[in-house]
Amino acid sequence: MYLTLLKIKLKNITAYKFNNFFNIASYFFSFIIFMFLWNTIFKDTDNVAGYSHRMIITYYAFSIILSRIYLPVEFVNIGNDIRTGELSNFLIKPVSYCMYYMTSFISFVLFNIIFLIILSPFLIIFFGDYINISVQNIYFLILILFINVFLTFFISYFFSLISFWTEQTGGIFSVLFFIYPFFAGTFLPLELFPENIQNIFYKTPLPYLVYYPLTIINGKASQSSILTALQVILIWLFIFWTGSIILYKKGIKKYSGYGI
Amino acid sequence: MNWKRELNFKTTFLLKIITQIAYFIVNVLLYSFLFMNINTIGSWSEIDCIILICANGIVNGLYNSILGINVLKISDYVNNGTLDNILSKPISTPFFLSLRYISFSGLISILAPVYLLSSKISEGNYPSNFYTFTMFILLVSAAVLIKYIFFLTISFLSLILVETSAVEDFFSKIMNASKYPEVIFSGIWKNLFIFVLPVIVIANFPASIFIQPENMFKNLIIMFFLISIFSTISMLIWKYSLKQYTGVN
Repeated sequence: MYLTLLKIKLKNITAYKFNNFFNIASYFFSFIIFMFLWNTIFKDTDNVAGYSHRMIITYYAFSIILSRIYLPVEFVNIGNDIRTGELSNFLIKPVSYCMYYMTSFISFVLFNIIFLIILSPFLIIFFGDYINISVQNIYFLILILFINVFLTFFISYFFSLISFWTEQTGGIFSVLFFIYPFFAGTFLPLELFPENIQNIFYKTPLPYLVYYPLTIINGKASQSSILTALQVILIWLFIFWTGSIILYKKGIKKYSGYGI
Repeated sequence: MNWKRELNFKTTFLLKIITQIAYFIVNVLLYSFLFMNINTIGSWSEIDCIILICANGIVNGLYNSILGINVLKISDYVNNGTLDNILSKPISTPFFLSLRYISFSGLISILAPVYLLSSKISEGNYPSNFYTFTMFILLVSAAVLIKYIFFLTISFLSLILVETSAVEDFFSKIMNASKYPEVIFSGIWKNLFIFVLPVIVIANFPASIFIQPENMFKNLIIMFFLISIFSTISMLIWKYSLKQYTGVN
């Protein structure tokens, strides 16, 4: 049943070809502008905070893609389901509410992987000389990227479930979207920030979603640091997973089902 | 009326101001953090870049508060059929569509870049006399006008395509690059980002009064050229779109 749902969601996303074309085009423009900026900076130096020219270009080429996949999303429909009483339909059906939204999220991830596959030949043809991928810890990278899908989902699901109490979660997600590019390292690699600010970033799960996989791609992460990061990611996954279960159980007790 | 409408929701009004100022501060901080690790971007120093960010904040703040807020709504008017009513009014439709609402919270937020710009100019060795500031206001106004005509033209496409959010989003993302110094662009890309997608024109040209005053007149001529070309294209697209428009409601 979830597989059918996955197929339907995937069809929905791919239906908007015009939008998808502009998404690909906006990726290229964002990347080209970052490339111009760093090409100019590297005319006067050969190292910025431990990054060579090729490492920084590789960083941005992948950060733009990863930040599309590992960006927590607001499940607006959760708030709507609660407000309109639509949630009651889920309660009487043999469908897990969490799995329903997870399937929807995975379809979005799969779409982005397809997007990445389409984009790869262009990246190699146009920017192959600039991009340098380290295959040293590729299995760890794949594992972290896989776990991060679920971490991103549970962060999104956890905060969206707050709708049981606040009806709307737009404010929470506005703050999250505002801090995300800094904490996840999509604007600048975290090494460029002062150390005390970096320490604040590392107290959250966000650097592990985009920045950390990028350090593996660039060959900057040692195996021992990867293992530590993996533990931290699993702890955060556990926190948000159990947090979501608790929130859902408490929320359902509070849910009055008005609007049915 | 706009002022009263906005003040009805005082918390939202304050939050909007705080968010917009915070966004500006974050952009300034990003350059500050970057310059902790580098000395220059091409020939641009840290203060040059902060002046650019201020000019960008002023132009975008003015555009978003007075014109952008209305231009963004045009595709909604097409989608929900409101445009049909507006078209029947005895007033120029593009004019009515462009100046319906004003965001006062956005206008107040402009004070942050204005304050930082004035303090950085007095801090650095930049020209700061009445003539310079008059020219700065002129170039800022021209930049706002160029951005307005550009996005208005894109929004006219909604009369033909109906759903243009992806196109608007795409061009907004590109225009975000106006916060980068023009020195990073070269060759065909530089011409593209001046004459086709006016990214460089938006903030670099007004900021050039302080950073590269020798380019001021050249930039002013380019801006007036762009205004005349873009407005002609815009009017042609408006007339064509109107012929194609069948009404949605």
